[in-house]
Amino acid sequence: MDSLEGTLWDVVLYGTGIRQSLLALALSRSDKKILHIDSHQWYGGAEAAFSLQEAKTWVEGIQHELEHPQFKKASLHHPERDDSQTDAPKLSYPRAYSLALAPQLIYARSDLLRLLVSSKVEKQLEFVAIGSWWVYQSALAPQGSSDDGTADGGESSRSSLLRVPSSREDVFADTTLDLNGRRKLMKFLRFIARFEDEPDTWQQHASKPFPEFLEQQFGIPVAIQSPLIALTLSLKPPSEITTEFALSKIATHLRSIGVFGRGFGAVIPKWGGLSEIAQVACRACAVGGDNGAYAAEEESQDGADSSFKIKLSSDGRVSTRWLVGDVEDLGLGSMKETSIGGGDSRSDTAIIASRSVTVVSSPLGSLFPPVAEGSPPPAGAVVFFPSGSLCTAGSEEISQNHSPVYIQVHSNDTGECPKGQSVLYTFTAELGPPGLQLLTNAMTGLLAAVEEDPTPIALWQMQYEQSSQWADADPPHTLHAVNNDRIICLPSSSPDLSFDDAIIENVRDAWKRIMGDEVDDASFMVFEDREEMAGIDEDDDDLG
Amino acid sequence: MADSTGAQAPKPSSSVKLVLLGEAAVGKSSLVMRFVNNDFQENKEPTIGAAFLTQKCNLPTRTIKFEIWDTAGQERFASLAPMYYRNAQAALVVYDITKASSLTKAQHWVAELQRQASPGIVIALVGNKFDLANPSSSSAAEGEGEEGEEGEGDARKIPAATAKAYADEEALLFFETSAKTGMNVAEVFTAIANAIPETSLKGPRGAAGQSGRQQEESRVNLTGPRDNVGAKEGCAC
Ligand SMILES: Nc1nc2c(ncn2[C@@H]2O[C@H](COP(=O)(O)OP(=O)(O)OP(=O)(O)O)[C@@H](O)[C@H]2O)c(=O)[nH]1
Ligand SMILES: [Mg+2]
Repeated sequence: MDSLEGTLWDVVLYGTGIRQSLLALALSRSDKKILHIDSHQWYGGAEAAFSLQEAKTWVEGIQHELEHPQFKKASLHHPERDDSQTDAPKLSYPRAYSLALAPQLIYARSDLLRLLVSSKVEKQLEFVAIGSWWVYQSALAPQGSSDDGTADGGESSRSSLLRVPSSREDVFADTTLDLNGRRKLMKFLRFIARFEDEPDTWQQHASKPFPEFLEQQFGIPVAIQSPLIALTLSLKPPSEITTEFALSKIATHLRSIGVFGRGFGAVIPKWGGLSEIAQVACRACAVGGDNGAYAAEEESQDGADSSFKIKLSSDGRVSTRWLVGDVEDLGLGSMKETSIGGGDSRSDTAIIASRSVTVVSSPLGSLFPPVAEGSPPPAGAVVFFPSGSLCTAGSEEISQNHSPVYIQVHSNDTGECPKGQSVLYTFTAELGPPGLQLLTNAMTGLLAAVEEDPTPIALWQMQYEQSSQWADADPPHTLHAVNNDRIICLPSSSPDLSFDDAIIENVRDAWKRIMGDEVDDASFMVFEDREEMAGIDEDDDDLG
Repeated sequence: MADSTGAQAPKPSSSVKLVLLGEAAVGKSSLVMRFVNNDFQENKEPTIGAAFLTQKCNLPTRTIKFEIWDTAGQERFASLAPMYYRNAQAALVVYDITKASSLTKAQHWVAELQRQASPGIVIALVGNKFDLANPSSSSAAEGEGEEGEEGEGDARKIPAATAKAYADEEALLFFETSAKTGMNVAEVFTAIANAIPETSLKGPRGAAGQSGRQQEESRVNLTGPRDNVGAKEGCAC
């Protein structure tokens, strides 16, 4: 067994977030010596999944600033229970929960799913379907006028959820639209199926607001745009969503439907979102712990074999040819401008969101109607609260320009909570107390709109803010003197609602740099089955 | 590859996911190594994360292929355990008969499995390091200095009867073993193989997701479309 210090490692991989874990998987069948370490007690970094106990520890870590500043303002809420009422809904034991920091949905055509299959780790995972998308309509919102595309259904006195049509048949059957509205939506759906081939229709709108495009090119009035905007999964107000972005997101959504079964197009890994993928990928390389706060400090550089020494806080010094981590872990604040955001990284990179995770006392069954005969029953749903559907802090009136809110609802089929309960994951770009108020209002609205008696209640909640990069100027640590092209700095995680395939590109790039000329793209994460091997088939380049 | 040379009898074969749990250094990896490679190491290093191994077990009427997840006993890996015991059809919960705290830890694992794992999971409680118990057969015991146990005679801290009574109460299989001498090791795995209900056995795949019809149903298959997929909906490609 190699000792840590005595070994020249080919790669020191720092952190077990989704990117590092996928890279560990990609490198796992190479003959590289890999030291994979994490400073945390849990796997998954910003993509971890927690039991209630672990969530509490995590929140306390953030409060005491032990965690990366990517997460901020975390708090826990345990509504008071009246224990004399024995049949009052209760939390189950802490490990009955596996709450996801990154409950990202994965579209059927994502490269991630393809690679999980080709690398054979998919067999160790389970996926469940995201079924319906819903748009929340507030009772307080002004009702449609006669020529806005909505059907004249009289005044509605309560808030409601409208199911987003996912096919032309759905649009046709949608009674909330008048004939004119249906016809326009159909036209748009026909266009988007092949929008790349019709640049004349949209190219001049590419970087302009999507709502204007819908109105000008398709005559779709603002009143019936929400279902389409819901599919973009963007946290921005509609006026800031570009046409190009929206078209590609909506097309991805629609083109994914039917790939793994009728009526749904997105899946999530069971048992806690991306965490599960990170863990399975990590297993390809054993992972050791490094209990210090920071990964590495450049120590010396040895020109001859282009290796360098790094200092681990717990295990002394190790020599390596490559060091890989993310911005937070490596403390490479100075590199953030250049290396953040794979692909198109203009303004979309610095996403900051208010988040909450709430365990609810009801399975919320009405949000998971069967999507199609023969398809698996959905375990997740997305609820969209458009701008102009919620009240903001201190007001009883609907605010017309608050940030949109998304809630991902996960049933107990996701394995994240026990039977009889469900988990709400909320997202909004509004920060601070107004953001939290908005999230609370959205949840209250949702729980009222499902019309259950008694109204479901929150049993447990955590709130926090998450940013995709450091908001503060000064990173605590720098690695100025280091040979930069041997340090690979992966972008940090962002509070996205869906998995971003740019992550795969980052990982593939890192893999290619490390492997050099030995490899071509086609062999990325393509592995033989090793099921028939008996005996220990873990890589033995762990740190035993 | 214990089995690869044997003539392939047309016996039905099925996979069984098995997980090993227990305090650090009780001998989980050693038991697996004995079972899979018929080998033993005096100073085995602690497991990091978990190790995956497979081994076949021939029963008179069928072949069971164990997919074994050997987890790390060190506390810092404890939060990983659920992902290994989920969907497991069998668990080996190991303690060290020379260390009292290890039975307590084992009991915690059993309780957690009973609450959290698949309802039909077969659990075996295993008291390892039997060779250290019997002075006449543990000539190497003094050299080992297990947990600082030394002195004359019996290093045993947990009477077999105590553990057996607990196992009976919880309806667990129970064995005392020695990974070092090999005593009872194969027997544990055979007993587990025999105890897995026929109905929960499936073909080589599908073994996962045993935990009930309902979960099986909600599962999305990524490797092939369901029989009746029609691509007409929404899918424009
Ligand atoms: N005398 C004796 N020693 C044993 C026996 N089984 C294991 N050991 C020794 O106990 C020590 C720990 O064994 P491991 O198999 O690594 O224990 P483990 O449960 O896998 O430990 P972790 O991986 O840290 O959870 C090693 O030094 C083994 O040689 C046994 O049956 N008898
Ligand atoms: Mg071990």
